[in-house]
Order: sequence, then C-alpha cells, then structure tokens
Amino acid sequence: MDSSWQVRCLQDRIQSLNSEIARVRQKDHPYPEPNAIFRTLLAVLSDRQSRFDKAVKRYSSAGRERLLEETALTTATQLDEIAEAFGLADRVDSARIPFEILRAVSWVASSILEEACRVAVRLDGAYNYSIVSCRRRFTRLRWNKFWDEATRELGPEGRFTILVLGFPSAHANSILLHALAAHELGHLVRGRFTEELEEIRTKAVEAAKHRHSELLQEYILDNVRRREGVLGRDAYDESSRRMEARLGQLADDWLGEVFADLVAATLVGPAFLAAFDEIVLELGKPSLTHPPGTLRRGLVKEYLQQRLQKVADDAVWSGVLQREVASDPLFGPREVDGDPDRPLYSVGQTICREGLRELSAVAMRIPSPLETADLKKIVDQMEDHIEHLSPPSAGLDDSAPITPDEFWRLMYAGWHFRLNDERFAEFKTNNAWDDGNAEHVIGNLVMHALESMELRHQWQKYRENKE
Amino acid sequence: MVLNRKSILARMGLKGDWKRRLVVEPFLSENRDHDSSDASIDFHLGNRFTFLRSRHAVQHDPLADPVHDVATTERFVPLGQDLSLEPGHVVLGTTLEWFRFPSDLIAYVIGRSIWGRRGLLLVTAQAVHPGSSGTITLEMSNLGDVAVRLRPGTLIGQLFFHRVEEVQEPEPPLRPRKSPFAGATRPILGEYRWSESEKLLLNL
Repeated sequence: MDSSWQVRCLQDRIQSLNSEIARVRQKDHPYPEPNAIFRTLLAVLSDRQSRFDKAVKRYSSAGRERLLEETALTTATQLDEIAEAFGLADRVDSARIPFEILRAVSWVASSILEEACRVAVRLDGAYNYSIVSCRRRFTRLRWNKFWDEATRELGPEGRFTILVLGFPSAHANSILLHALAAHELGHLVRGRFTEELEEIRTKAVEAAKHRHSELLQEYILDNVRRREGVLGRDAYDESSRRMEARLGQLADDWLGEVFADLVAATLVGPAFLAAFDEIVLELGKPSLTHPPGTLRRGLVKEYLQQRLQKVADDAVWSGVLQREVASDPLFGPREVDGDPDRPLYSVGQTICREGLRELSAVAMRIPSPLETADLKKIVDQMEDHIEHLSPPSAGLDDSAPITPDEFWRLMYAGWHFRLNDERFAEFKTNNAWDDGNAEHVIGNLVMHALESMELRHQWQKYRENKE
Repeated sequence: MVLNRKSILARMGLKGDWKRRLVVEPFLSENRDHDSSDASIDFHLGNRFTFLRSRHAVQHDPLADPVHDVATTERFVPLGQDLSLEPGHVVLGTTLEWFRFPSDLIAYVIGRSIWGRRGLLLVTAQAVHPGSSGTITLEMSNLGDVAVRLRPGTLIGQLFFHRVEEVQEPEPPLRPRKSPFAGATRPILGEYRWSESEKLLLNL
C-alpha cells in the first residue's frame, strides 16, 4: 500500500471535516446546545490531527510503514466517529421544530434521569423517534475532557448532558405524537438500573434457550461455515459462539425496547400506545433490534392492567387497548422471507415474555404521574379547557407547586380528549374543523400548555427566592 | 364600556363559566399585583417571528396569490436572546400568552409608550374579536432611525377590554369565533379572503 497517498487522503479528510463543522457552527442556532457539540468535535478533531501528524513524522522513515498504516486505520475510524457525532447536531435549527417545548422537556428529563439535562431536537428523515445522550456517548468514545471543556460555558449546572431527541421530520408539529419521547427517555432511564436489568436478561435468556433448545440447535447447524483447514467440531463451536453473541445482543436490544415501553406506559399510560400505533405501522415485523410491535403492545397492555388498572378500564382507551392488531391483515405477523435470523425472533419473543414480570417490578419503582386519586378530576378539567380552546395548563392552581408530573398528565389529557369520540366530534362541529385541523389545534393547545407550565414553575421559583 | 383591572381579573376567575370566562395563559401573577394601568393588562412578547421578503416582485399585492409574491422566513428567538428590527422593517410576532375570549368581550391591542417613543409601532388599534382564541399576532414596524432590539419576554403591549352589548342579554352565547387564525401559536401571513362585495367591485 502507498502510505503517502493514504496519509494525504486522511489529512484532506481532516481538513474537510474541520471546515464543515466550523462552518455549520457559525449558523444561527436558536439554542446554544448544538454549539457545545460542535466545540467538542472540533477539539477532538484537532487532538486527533495533532497525534496523526506526529505519527506521520515519527513513522515515515523506512521500515516503519506498518506502524504508519495502523495509525492511519485508527485515525480513519476516529474520523468516522466524529462524522457520525456531527450528524447529531445537523438539522437542529429548523423553525419547524417545536422549540417551545424544549425547556419543559429538559425539565422533565432532568427530573426522571436524575441528571442535569438540556434537550435539542433534530429532525430525522427516518420515520422514527430516537434519543442520544451526548455525555454518555462521548464518554464511551473517551472524549470526556473535550466535552467537559465545551459545556463549561453553557451554564452553572456543572456536569450535565445534552439529549438529542430525533423527531420524524414529517411530524415535527404533531405534538401529540411526541408522547413517544417518554419511550425514548425510557432508554436512558435504563442506565439507572443497569445491574438489575442485566440479571433479568441473563435469567430470561437461559429460560428461553432451555425452551427453544432444538430450534437453536438447528440454527447453529444451519450456520456452520465449512472452511478449509477447520475441523467440523471447531466450525460447530464457532457457529455456537456466534449464535450466543447474536442472541445476547438481540436479548439486550429487545428487552431494552420493552423496558422503555414500560417506562413510557408509566408516564403517559395508554397514550403511549395511541402514539405508537401511528408511528409503528408494520407491527408484525421483528428485526434484530426491535421486537414485533404486536408483542410490545401486548406486554404494555398487560403492564397497564397490572399497574394502572383504573386508567386501563377507562372506556376512552378501550379502542387502543382492545385493538386486535394480531388478527389485522395489515398488522398481523409477517413472514420475514430469507432472513437467516428468523429462528432467533421466536426465542426473542420468549425472552421478552419471560422478562416481563421482573421488568415490570423495576418499572414500578418509577413513580407514575397517573397514580393519583384525583386523576379523573384533573383530566376532566384539562379536557374542559381544551374543549373551550383554552390551554389545559390554565386550570393548574398557582397556590400549589407545579411539578414535572403535569407535563405527562397534559400529554395524557391531550390524547384522552382526542380519543373521546363524542367530545372530539363536538369539538370539530363547534369550530367547523375537519380531523386534521382539530388535531392540529389540540396539539397547539397542549404545546402552549407545556410551555406555560414550565414558565409558571420558573415564576414560582423566582418568587420564592425573592421572598 | 371599558373593563377596569378588577373586572378583567374577575372574568379570569370565572372557573366553569365558559360563557363569560377570559383565559390568559401563562398569566404571571405580577400582572395581578401591580397597578400601573387600571384598565388593561400587559402582555409579553413571544418567541416566534415571521419576516416577509419579496420573491421577485417589487410590489406586493395582498389580493394575489401570496406564495407568488412574497416568501416568509420564520425565526424562533429563545427567552434571554434578542432580535434586531432595522429601521423601516416589519416583522410579525406573537404574544407569549394565549388568550381565550368569551363571546361578549372584545379587546384592543395597544403598544406600550416606552416602545412607541423609540419608534416601534405595534399595530394601530388592532381589535381582537369576541370568541377569539390563540396567541395574538403582533404586526411590528420600526419607524425610527435606529434599529430596535426586541427581546422575547418583555412587556411589549397591553390589552384594553370592552364589553359587546348586543350579546349580553339574556346571556352571551357559548360560541367560538370561526377564524382561520383560531388556535394558532405562530405568526402567519394568512391568505386574503375575498368578500362578495370585493368580488363584485374589483371585477367591474
């Protein structure tokens, strides 16, 4: 390999990445959080460039090309990581983003994650929601010192993270759908219970392996790779190890999704499923990272009936909870033709079912904003406001402290109103709106309420401090 | 009749009586306490701004297809940051507060003189009709010689409330106003709606 050519390519790539990040950093971003990401990336890039240049000088002499090639490969991988992280802060400045709710989302995220959080929203071309904690990702990449330096200017909180929430671009303004942010936060809540969840995973995997031993045996045999010079027994062992690794990863991802679902159900109840149904259309289709939607719905339903029975019994949610998705020709189980991992999906389903009881027990330790004796009264009052085109937060009493729980109850009430057929029909008739307009206005009312309740909370704190 | 501060606050406290209830959200209680003006309530500048710019026409015809002549650029300015409005420029903004009017109240939007004296014109007697609901769009122009710095969250204007007499007896109807701007939170240009008389007169 021509090392000098490879070195030139890498140096060009560093320059190009550097100028692109510096250029985008200068754009007018409404909030300063993306700048912290750009500053981190520029600092990492500068550090890697300096190391690479030193290595080029040191290893360019004859006989040390191999070391130079290794350094080049490592640098290329690091540049990929920087480029990928750059994508986090891309499309975070569009005026279409509902910036109004970011302060409120940061507030509730800090509360549930027990860590100071700032939130940025990125419009994602893909039709899904996502979340990344910059601090966690950058720590994993060993960029901590650059991150700490870059975030020092942002505020007095000390150590904090920036959560980049990905919203599907086409639904940036569908506020009710953003109830799915509860699921995304659930992924990060997982970090609070790492050891317990690991134990649950191990037990569930063992139980499922025992139950599906024949199926897994077939899978191992089907995936034995015959290679010259490798004994049959060794090839079998290799296939067995590959199966273990793949199943372990699948169990980790699938149980992670189920746990995040349970957290979402804890926070917004069946409203999570209502939003879920609008986004996850291929409910019957599993993948290595996600269990089939039909299974997830079933597990959430079971959890809700156990934890929030009164909520689950509310007639408004019957359409969502009783929906027979499994027998629906559109949503029913899908054959995944030609997918070599198909047998693992059956095992994965058993793992999720095995793990549900213990996952539920962990999720139950997270307080639910819906577990309040006054829920019906609170929601009635919020709906009354929506019906009369008044933000549902306007009914909150100023004499009591406004808490992050209100955020989730407002989301819950917005969906509860939307799914109350009688009330929604009357709302449309009174205002001469079609479904789309009416939903849009409910979204605006909820968005304004989320923004207002956070401002009122800040106002309460300010007054208290002053007194 | 213009409502005094006490009557306005009383209207806001009519929980459950949607026919007469006025909603202002968020209503930061300072508004409840201070008595700088006895017959109005102040409102804050919101975060969303819309600028108009010409696409290719040198003159804008509001009656023509707005998409053809002008483009709008929307900006979100967070609390704690600001926006500069240059002399001679116009920008659409919103109130930070959402207002829900009962069907027997109307309000006039008046800029605060502290801004007016510096050249900022905040609409002229814009009326908010009975039954309206949403944030109020503010048409702001800088008539001065120097740029004006606009900061979301500042008290930029005030609302004077009047009672609409015709609908007070026997009692006001519970009827939202059917408007294309109802329930809006963003400052939008809106499309010109031709009235029947305009259709006749402009085509003669």
